[in-house]
Amino acid sequence: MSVTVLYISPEEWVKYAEDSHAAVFKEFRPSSIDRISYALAATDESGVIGYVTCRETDSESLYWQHGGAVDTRYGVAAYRGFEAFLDNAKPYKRVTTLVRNDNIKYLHLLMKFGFRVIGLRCVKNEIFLELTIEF
Amino acid sequence: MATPGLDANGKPLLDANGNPIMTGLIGDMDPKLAAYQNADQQMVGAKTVSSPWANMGTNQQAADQASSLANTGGIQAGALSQAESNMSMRGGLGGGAASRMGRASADNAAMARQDINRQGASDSLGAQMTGADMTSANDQANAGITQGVQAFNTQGNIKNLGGSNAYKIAKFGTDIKGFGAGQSANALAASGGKK
Repeated sequence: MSVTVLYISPEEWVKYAEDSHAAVFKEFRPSSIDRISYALAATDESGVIGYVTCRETDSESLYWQHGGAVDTRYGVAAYRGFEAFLDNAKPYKRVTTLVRNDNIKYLHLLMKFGFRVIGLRCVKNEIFLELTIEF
Repeated sequence: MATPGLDANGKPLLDANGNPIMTGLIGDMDPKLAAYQNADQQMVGAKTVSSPWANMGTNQQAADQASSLANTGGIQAGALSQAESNMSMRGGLGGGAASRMGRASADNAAMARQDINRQGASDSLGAQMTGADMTSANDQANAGITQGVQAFNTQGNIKNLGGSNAYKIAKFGTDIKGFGAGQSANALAASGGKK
């Protein structure tokens, strides 16, 4: 099973943003509020795995805004998709992301790959952990 | 030896109006010019950083080009085989016709490879040019003019990649739409089917 990572421009991502967000987060989020540098999508022979939206905060730092795997691809495929996204981020010096504090599986995955908690945010009565990894 | 602009006692030399003279420093003569000189030095000495995306763009393009070149020979061989087969059905493939067809096929393959290489050179140049844009943008950011140019140039890089990925991205869009539509249906069902 080989994972293919697709690079999608912000202009093109507008077409897929709402469907992608609904598929992963099970909620509607209008594409018009996105301000991203680009999006990455992961696919393999069996179809779509997941996506992540990225924003360059400077030439060395990347912020992962939204993303995840579709629920039918949880497990090995999601793991390899995440691995592929992280490989694609390695030209930068660091990646930062926010994860809700009850998303235990994703927190485990991030920390297994070397992400470390560096902060905490409260947004609309929800708590998010800020994690970063330095390459 | 006395410092330029100072007398033997270390006090500034003054002109008839009481202003310092002959200091040898541009700033003392024209503070505005000194500010310019300082800014100019900062811009010249600024460290330039190319975006990781410039490199990604080049790598992706090289892979696509190699893949296209690898396929060219097979496509032409298939076309030649098909032509020979058609000739056989029309009453036989003579030696002269086979030779001409073989030469035409080789010419076509060569032309196709040339086109791919030319397009590849163009795409590669595109990726590197946006790298140069990024370097220029960093100079501007270091000079304190703007910091918003990074994202803009990243978008330029992505545009160069867009063409080669267009089919795969469209397929991703179709696939993910299925998941999104399912979620909408589920949400509607969960709400009792009411609007």
